[in-house]
Amino acid sequence: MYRYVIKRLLMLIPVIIGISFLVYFVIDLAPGDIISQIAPEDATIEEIQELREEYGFNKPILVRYGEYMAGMLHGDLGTSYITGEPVFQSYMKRLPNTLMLAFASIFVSVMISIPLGILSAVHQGTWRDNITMVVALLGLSMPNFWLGLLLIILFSLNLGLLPSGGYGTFAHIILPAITVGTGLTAMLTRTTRSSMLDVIRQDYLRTARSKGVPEKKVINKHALKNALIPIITVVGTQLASCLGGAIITETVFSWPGVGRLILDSVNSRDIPMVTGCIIMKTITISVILLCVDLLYAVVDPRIKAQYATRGGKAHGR
Amino acid sequence: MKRKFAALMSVILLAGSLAGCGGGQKAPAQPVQESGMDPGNTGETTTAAPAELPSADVKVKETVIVGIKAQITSMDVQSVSNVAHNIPYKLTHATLVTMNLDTGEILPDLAESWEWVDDVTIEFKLRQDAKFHNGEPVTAQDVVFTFERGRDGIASGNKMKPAKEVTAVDDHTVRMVLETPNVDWLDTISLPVFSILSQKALVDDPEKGYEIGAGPYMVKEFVSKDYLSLTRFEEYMDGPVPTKNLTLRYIPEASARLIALQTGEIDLCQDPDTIELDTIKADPNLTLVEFPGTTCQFFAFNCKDQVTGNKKLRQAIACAVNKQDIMDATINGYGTVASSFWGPTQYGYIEDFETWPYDLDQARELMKEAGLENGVDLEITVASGARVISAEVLQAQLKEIGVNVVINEVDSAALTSITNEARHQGLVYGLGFNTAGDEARRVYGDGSSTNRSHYHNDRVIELMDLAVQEFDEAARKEYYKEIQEIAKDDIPVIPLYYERNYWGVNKNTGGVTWYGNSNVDLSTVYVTE
Repeated sequence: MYRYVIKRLLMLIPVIIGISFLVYFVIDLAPGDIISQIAPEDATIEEIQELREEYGFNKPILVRYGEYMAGMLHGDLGTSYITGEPVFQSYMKRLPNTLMLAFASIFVSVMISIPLGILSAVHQGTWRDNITMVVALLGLSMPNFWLGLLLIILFSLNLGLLPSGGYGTFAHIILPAITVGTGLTAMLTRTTRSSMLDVIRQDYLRTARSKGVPEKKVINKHALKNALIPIITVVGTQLASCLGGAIITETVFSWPGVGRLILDSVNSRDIPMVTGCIIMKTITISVILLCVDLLYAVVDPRIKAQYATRGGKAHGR
Repeated sequence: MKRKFAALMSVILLAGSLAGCGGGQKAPAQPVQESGMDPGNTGETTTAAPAELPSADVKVKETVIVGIKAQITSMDVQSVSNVAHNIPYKLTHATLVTMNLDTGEILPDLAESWEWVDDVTIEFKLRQDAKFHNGEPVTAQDVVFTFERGRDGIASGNKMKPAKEVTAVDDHTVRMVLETPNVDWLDTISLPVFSILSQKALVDDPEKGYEIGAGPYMVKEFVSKDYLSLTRFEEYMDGPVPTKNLTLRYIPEASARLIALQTGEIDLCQDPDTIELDTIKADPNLTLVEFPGTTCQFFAFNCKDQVTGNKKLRQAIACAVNKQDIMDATINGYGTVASSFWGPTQYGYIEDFETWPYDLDQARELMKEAGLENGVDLEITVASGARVISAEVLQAQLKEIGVNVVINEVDSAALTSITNEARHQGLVYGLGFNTAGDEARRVYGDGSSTNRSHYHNDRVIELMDLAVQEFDEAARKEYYKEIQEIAKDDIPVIPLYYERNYWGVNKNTGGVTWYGNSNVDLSTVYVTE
């Protein structure tokens, strides 16, 4: 298993080079540059030109990229042109907020989806199944900003129960987590449902029932455990997507996460910040996905056996 | 199960109904607090409402929170100069002189008096009792240091250029020698970018020493692009301000900002959406503060472009633009139509300036004179947001005279590059005017990046140079009048309208000076309990 982990981590190197190259070039190709954002409005065209030279924008893009990557090799992700703060520091300041929101949203999603998916599978074809699917679809269909504002109006303005925005306490995370989590439920509910449907028809469950195991135990212990692999896959993917930052939710709730940091930096063409944040995001997501892959081994002994015998080579997920 | 489902549906329906009646709710209007001047008669007779302090027996909230719409990216006063940063800089730092931003009256700040020694030399006497947040007295050497450091500052470098020499005559006397006579110099140095910094603070801590100022509040915590937390400076030269803690919190979404005000999480809400103003009026706990603004939305032509370089075409378009309709569509009519591309509080503003009339017949005639009676294609560049609506209305209006508008919607970084490089034809944008007459140079001056038209007229340049050195008021006003008349004829820019400013505040709020150029002074803000 260790060899597999090391191999996956080493694979990050070409991924980072590729992603940084793409981001650096795409941002550079976009019309407008950072100088237009930082130059004072009374700057003359000549002074703007001077600033461009001062910041090295007169050098060819490949040279600038090379310099950036040389810095990165020494662990320096660069410094924001806008705030003057080191990129790594800015990212790490926001990462805890993003992690907190991502895990809380996944928690909300899991808490809604898995019971709904099980309910739907167990009562397949009944009105319960139909309504569950409609509710799940509703979660997917509602735009985040609209749901967010709705929740703020209901729980902050009318009921006065929760803060409308900001961060710092447990109460602050509830509404953003519900907003993001609700949007994730549809996919997870459907996955849980179909995975459960596959499993509950298996012979070993029929055997369990015939041996007199209570139905609740059959479903919750035997069926769910065996249906978990696809569910973990979806949860892992959703977690990775949340770690990229929920830009709209972060904006509505004034939640200072990574998503807003990246968006603001793209808008101001703050190349070091965008590139640095995306590199960090890539690393974070890769590590999370690796953890998810390793989790398969915990859930399914067959996969653990594969890791043990073949160093993970046969692991095809 | 049925009961659970019914409960779930109830919550969804309740939420839906609440959302439905939230924003557009109509209710009996509460009194609106009007402040400041009217753009129709500004420049001479009007003033911003002076901030009143609470009486000693009134208890005020210890912490006041302001919801702001733009990010604060740096607390180095010499690195950024715009409204989003001027508001916090005025809280933490002090300048040599300050001014009433509506009347242009220069007022003492760190300098208790000043005297023009000759046309280019001015001497300031500093207050003896002024201190920085680190306890050090404000000295003439700090002023000299500030200018030395500022010459390399991104935002301050250009602005400090007119000061050829800044020297300390003694501990509390500073002498400034200018490159050329400049009537607007005192106005210029009242900008927060000229805030005086503590030399000792910056020597001790080059990374963050710039946060030490001599203003009424000290920086407690600053998280870039998120919030700025301030605490009262007890040794402030004018005595401690009423509020102990003041926080500026960035809330980007306008509706969320307003809801935070309604729930009491913040006490002041900057720039609520105009469609939500009725909500504030209807709330008995809130007050809507409304005052005319000096930001002019405009439609600029690129005078270097082959098509829009045609003066007759520009004049034709000026006659085909119905400004009122554009203002109504873009900001629901909450503004004042502009006739001259000049700030309503700017020196030299002409109240009843006669501009091009809205006259389609004259417009068509001018199109013929331009040699474009068969029509022409015109690209209008605009950054996303409300200005896109203005561009769309322009598109419809100009179709009437055969001008086929194509809208090029880009983000603000791209827009700045496109206009700097003169790659545009038309542009819808906005500009906030200050009080100095020489502000004209920003829009008509050679090479200025805010001269979005790339307009050049030798006579206009000459007039601006004459005006800024002219101490005789009547002669100076004549120069500015002539500039506006030339600009009307050349029409590099069609001024559209001035936006009104709105803030929603807790009804117990006081102590704020509402300036039309949006540089609201929150130094003495308080909220009574």
